[in-house]
Amino acid sequence: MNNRLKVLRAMNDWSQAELAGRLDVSRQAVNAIETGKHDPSLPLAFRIARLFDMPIEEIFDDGHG
Amino acid sequence: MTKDSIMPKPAKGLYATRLVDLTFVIMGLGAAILLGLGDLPSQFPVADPEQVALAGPILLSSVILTGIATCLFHRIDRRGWDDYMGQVMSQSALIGMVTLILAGALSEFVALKWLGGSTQLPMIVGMIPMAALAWAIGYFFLRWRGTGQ
Repeated sequence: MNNRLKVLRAMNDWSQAELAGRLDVSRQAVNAIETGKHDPSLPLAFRIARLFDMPIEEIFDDGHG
Repeated sequence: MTKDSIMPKPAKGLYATRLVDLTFVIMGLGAAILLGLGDLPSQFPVADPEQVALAGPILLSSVILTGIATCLFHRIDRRGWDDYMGQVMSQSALIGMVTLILAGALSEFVALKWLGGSTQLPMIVGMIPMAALAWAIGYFFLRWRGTGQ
């Protein structure tokens, strides 16, 4: 699944560790999502969407949208 | 506020990714060394023949009791580890279970067919039914209680 997490993080000038802290996950989790190695669970996807104040589908793209 | 943040910080440290990585490195190397020793089971005394009948019930009740306890502790784990590690841990456990069962069966098959007898590794052979039963306990626990948070 493609996502814009890295772009959104850069726009806010946050490090991976900083974003991880805001999402209450590990830095490795943020890195894995950004590199497409991990699809977040629905609760985490909602936390990400709330943090960036955007709908989930504007952050994550499953290629069928 | 998510359930993740309910756990106090010192306890959350137990679920740090690097600590889990290190644990798996030690566990993997330890298991590889133990298996490599080959004659490890011969170091253990054979049970008293009069007590052998108790071996099955002891083994079975041990798996059931520890299986139930593990299911309960797993709920605490799920609050502690984060999204990514949760998936890595559960999926690697699945791979590990299947590998254990298939590798045990394959090694016994090879030994029986070409070496003329069992591998005499009760640690491996005994682990197959134990793993299957433990897996079933975990499976039905999660079917009953669900996998969501």
